[in-house]
Amino acid sequence: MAASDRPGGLTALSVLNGFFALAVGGTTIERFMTSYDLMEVAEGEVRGRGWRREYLQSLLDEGLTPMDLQILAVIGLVATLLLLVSIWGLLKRSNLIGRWLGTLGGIALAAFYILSIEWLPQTFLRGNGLSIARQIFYPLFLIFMLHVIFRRDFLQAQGKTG
Amino acid sequence: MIPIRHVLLHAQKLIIHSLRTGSGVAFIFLTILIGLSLANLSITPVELGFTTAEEFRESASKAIGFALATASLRMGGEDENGPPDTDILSRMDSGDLIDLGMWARYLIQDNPMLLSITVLLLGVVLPLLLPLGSFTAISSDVQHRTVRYLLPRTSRLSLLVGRWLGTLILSWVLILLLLFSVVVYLSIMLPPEATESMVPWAGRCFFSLCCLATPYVSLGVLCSAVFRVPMVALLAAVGATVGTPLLALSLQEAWDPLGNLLYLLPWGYSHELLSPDGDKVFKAVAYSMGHSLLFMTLAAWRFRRADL
Repeated sequence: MAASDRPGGLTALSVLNGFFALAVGGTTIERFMTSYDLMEVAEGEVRGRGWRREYLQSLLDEGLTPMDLQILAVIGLVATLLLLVSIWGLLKRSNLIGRWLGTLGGIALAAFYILSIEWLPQTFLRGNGLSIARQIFYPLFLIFMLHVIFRRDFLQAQGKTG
Repeated sequence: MIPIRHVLLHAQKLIIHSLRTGSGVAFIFLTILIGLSLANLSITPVELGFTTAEEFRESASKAIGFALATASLRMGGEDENGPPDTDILSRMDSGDLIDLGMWARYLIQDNPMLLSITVLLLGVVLPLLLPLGSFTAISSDVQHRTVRYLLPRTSRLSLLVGRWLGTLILSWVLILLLLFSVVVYLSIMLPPEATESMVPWAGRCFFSLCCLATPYVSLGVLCSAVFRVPMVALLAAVGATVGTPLLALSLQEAWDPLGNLLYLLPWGYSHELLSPDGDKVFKAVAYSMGHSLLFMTLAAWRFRRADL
């Protein structure tokens, strides 16, 4: 069997893409669920335990709308899908699916976290500030790696197949 | 005489190669991830309102004083006049350890507390992460025998020093990135008057962490030069880093002077890099450089004689 000449860093990036896709996917589900809970609280439907309702009410009072959360969830969903699809592209060193979908996934991931900081109230974000900073680091790192360190690998692989 | 151009070229190639390998990506990612997690750990109690800043300052001051006393008294343990069974806390309370109290106060009261705590935690964790960046510096090429293609064009010493320099620069850049992220976040979170002294103190912390990183990177390069298989080199570097304090603490119970085994690595003095006393800082920096020089001399000696 011939040894693969794919750089180990690309394999590591594909693993990290999977890890972050799962992380942002989980947060996306949570955003969707919270948005539906917020809608129910806004419509006056009594549901769940008291503290949860009070918490959701406080979010509404701070100006958070279900629509904000749904937009964030959609961006998160796009980021999850792009990152997941790009795993295959990174492993195959595909310029379009690996490099460019990975880049779009990175941009969507960064947008998801930056808009979270911009839109979500402090009550929602408290204690998560540096985790968000940590998560913003990855998209920047991914884009840097895809366009500076591994650029030539993708173009060479494209030249061979094309 | 080592050709500087060769050394710089090897350093540059190592940095680029590190970014392309799986271990390099893991090193960068884990260092940033764990570093920011540690910062998060120190900031979260205040941010979530579990405790007030003053209460946190008080308890952190005691905890740091205790940790400094535990670390510092090892060297002077025999000179202390107090009875051997007197515990550190009661000695702190009685004013016996007033210098250490001042030291803790310097870190917590006189300088940005959250940054100091983050840097102290990094001082414990970085030595375990740094071997990840250096274990392939030499051993990877030796294992795959690709080093044979390099040596007709360059000397073994240039290769060793260049790769050490590349690993060191990469580690320093990561430390800089980490501190930058923490400082930017704290500057956003804290009121402006609390962040005035943040940048100079961050500069001092950066200097301390760079000095701390140098001997551990050298140790990683030494292990990489000694062992042909990269994973064995990694195991040796991490094993030595973790094993030395454990061994020293265990053997000290049997015979007190054996506790000085701790000084085989910078564990025994690295905390003094953040001391308010300039002399102690100077000594700690000198010891760090001495350790680095020793490790690199051993690495050069081993690498020059290696059958490649």
